[in-house]
Amino acid sequence: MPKSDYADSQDRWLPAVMLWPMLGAIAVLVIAPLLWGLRISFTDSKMIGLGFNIALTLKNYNAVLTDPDTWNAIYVTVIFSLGTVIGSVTLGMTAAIVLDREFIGRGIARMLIILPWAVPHVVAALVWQWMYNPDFGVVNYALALAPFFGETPKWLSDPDFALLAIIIVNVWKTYPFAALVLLAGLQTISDDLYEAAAIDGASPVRRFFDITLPGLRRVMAIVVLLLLIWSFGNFVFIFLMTQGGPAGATNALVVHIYFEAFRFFRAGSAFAMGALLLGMSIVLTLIYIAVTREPEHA
Amino acid sequence: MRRRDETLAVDQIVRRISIAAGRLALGGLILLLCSVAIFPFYWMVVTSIRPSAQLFEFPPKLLPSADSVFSPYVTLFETSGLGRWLLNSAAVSLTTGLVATFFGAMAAYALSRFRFRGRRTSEMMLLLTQMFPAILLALPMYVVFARLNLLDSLAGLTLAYLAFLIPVAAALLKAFFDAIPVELEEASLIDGASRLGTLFRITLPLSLPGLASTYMFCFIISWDEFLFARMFIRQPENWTVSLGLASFKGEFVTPWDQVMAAAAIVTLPAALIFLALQSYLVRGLTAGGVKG
Amino acid sequence: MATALLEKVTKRFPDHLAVDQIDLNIAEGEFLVLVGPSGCGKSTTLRMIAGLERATSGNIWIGNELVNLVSPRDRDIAMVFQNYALYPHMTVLGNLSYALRLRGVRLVEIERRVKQAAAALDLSELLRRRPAQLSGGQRQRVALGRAIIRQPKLFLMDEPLSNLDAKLRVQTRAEITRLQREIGVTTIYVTHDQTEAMTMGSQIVVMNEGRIQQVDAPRQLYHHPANTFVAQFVGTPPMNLLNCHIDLDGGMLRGDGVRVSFPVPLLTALASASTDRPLLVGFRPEDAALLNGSSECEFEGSVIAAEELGHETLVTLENGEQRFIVRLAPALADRAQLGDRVLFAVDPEKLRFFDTQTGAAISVFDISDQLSHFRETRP
Repeated sequence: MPKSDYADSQDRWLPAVMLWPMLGAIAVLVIAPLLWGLRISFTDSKMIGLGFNIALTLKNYNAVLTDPDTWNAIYVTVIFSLGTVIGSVTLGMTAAIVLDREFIGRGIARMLIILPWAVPHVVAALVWQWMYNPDFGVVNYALALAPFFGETPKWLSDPDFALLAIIIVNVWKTYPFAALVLLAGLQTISDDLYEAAAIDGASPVRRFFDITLPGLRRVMAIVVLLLLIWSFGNFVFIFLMTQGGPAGATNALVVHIYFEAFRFFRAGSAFAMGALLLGMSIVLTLIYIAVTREPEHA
Repeated sequence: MRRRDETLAVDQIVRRISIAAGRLALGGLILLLCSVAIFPFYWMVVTSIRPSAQLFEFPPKLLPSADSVFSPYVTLFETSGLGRWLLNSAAVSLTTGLVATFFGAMAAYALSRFRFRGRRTSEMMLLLTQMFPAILLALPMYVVFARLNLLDSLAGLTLAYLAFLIPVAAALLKAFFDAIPVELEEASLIDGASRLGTLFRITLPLSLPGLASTYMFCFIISWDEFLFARMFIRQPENWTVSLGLASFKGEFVTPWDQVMAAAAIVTLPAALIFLALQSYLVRGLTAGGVKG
Repeated sequence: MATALLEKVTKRFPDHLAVDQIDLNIAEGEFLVLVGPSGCGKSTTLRMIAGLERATSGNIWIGNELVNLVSPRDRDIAMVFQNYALYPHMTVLGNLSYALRLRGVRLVEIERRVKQAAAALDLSELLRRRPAQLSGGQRQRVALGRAIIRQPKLFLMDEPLSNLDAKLRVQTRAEITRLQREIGVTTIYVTHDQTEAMTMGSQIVVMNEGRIQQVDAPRQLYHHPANTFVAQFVGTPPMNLLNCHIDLDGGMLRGDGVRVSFPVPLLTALASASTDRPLLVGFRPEDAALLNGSSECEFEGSVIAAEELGHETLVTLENGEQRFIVRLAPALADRAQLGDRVLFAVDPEKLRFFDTQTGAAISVFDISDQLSHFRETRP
């Protein structure tokens, strides 16, 4: 396997021996099932795990692509992901800028702000569901205290608010990640640049737009893409809080696929939708790779 | 002259006021951000120690009641399977962490130190497997595991977790190995150690923090995981904490005090580990993205 | 202690040729310095001798053994790295004894040798410390200690001084030379610093673009560079090189600012040795002397810069397209003010000639004989 450059006689066989367990695991546990799933998407497989009668058919793809539910699921997925990214980056950027400053208790503030990232997904889903409780929840209590706010929404059981409610939970859970990465990015921007700009007469606002944002371009791209990819695959929040409802308002692709396979026993079309999701993920991943591989610009 | 002095004085006052206002705004912002972050935790704990009778009151009391009860933290272990679920999760997470770190470290070392054909491809595969939504792996894996009779067993679940955690561990550790100067290993090779000898005497001792962090990271991912567990596990005695917690949610009535107590117990180990790891995780998860 | 031999050693990396067919013969006990600009292949050469890189082709011998396929650990060599590569998790004692422990040397013997090496390098007080607790100079000494404790066949040093500050570098230079002389181990030392090379090496190998330019003792290298690259790489400021052409009829070499009268046979010899008539004439800055009146070997230019260094003044002169630098005693520097047109004489024996196209030195072996003969016969 090694071409040359082995300094030690063990270098001849060591790389192969070290790599094959992981490559084997990926091949057996990831790639083979993926291919098998792709195969099933062209069959009439019903109950997941059982066999199929018709070996090759495009019916699933036909059905899936003409089904308005699929397009609704894609729409929900995109809104959910974009909403998460916008909320998470805005909040994360604010937190990063605040944490980048010197103040007493910065260490503690930093720790507190990071906490949501540390909470298990199931716990976050349960706590927020309790907080969203339309009758006894603390969220509606807070809204009732606020002036000029008419009737409080029923959040998770209201088709108009359910998706927003879940986006809020996801933003709460993911913004610490955005904050930490952006903070690390902020700290790589040289102070000299800010000082030079200040001497040139740039106001703090200008400095933010002329130095901070350009300096964060790459980091920002990474944060946005990772958040998109993670939100695309997020299952727990929707599954536990709304089960895709009410009336499909939160029926994201991942949840839709799950129910297609396990509630409606249409494994074939579940896998066909999986192939769709796979396509979207691969596009995002390729963009991610392109961004991270791009050489640092001067 | 006097005119200028006055403008200067006014300038000074304006400046002072704006500085003070800025400080105030910053303070407010910090306070706001912190409360947004921790309020749900606070509410979890407050709810868990509130007497059941007071749970469904409106308006809710924001402070803990005077007659707080801590009994859920005890009774949970008697009335529910929480103890069992914790043990299951611990078993799965500890094993996953160990195996993923071991094989991940081997792969990471090979990718970090050797130049060979297919290196870029291997790295690409490593990244791709991390980027897929879990359901894309879970569904077909379910089919395969059903055939292999691996469903509804903790061993099967562990195997499934390894599928995506070995690549994650490899990526995290590669960043770590890359940071160890190659000259240390070269010096050791010249001093008379073999490659493996060098790995065990020099590289691994120096990467202990990285290995520990990777281990803990894999631990919390397994601890947190829900989708695979939900799909693969049926029997309540095989439930992990995620499944157990989710099962509390009743169709009509949910015992929120107990749910919140259980949630607090489940959160504690994960949160402690997370806080210990945070700076390392940022580096690992965005490896190559942020310099320094 | 051993000899080392490189035969047509080549290293090709995927994107470039790092070392191109070099031959090198290193005698026992020699202090050989590989010097050249960065990227010239000197470090790659050293790493191939160490076994850290494989040669693409060619043979490497250490002593009587062909080591092409031998692992570094079996080559019985010691190496000092630029960043020292001290094991951070081991104490100084651990670092020093690591190689001995790996080879299963008896504990008593290890102790004896550590003591000896520590005493030689003034490390006895530091044995319990870790590298992070040491100063740069101390780390450097530990790195040296780790090498000498081995009593290997070869010492390899890869820019070991470049991380030290200027003062410490000069001290350590002398220290390493002294140690090497005491122990007598054949040493190959890589540096990009020609001063280091000149002061330390018994033999110097100048490399550029993967090829050996010249192998010689320091003095020979300085006074008889094999080509323009060596002439300009060795010495600060470098050797002056001026374009001129051969005027056989006038018995002279002429060029902008160059007027050198030479006997015709010598000129003919030069002309036949160079591929074309124009050639480069070179001299060291210190070989030019201010001239009153005229000389058979004159260089002229107007002063465009003068750098006062205290013990000497470097004066840069320009004539047409050509520039050259002369080294003057401070007392004389007043006579070369900015803008002045100044005349210098150079002893013809100190002149060197190079082919304009290939840059190779044109050696006219009997140049001094010819000159003395010319002088005697001249009326």
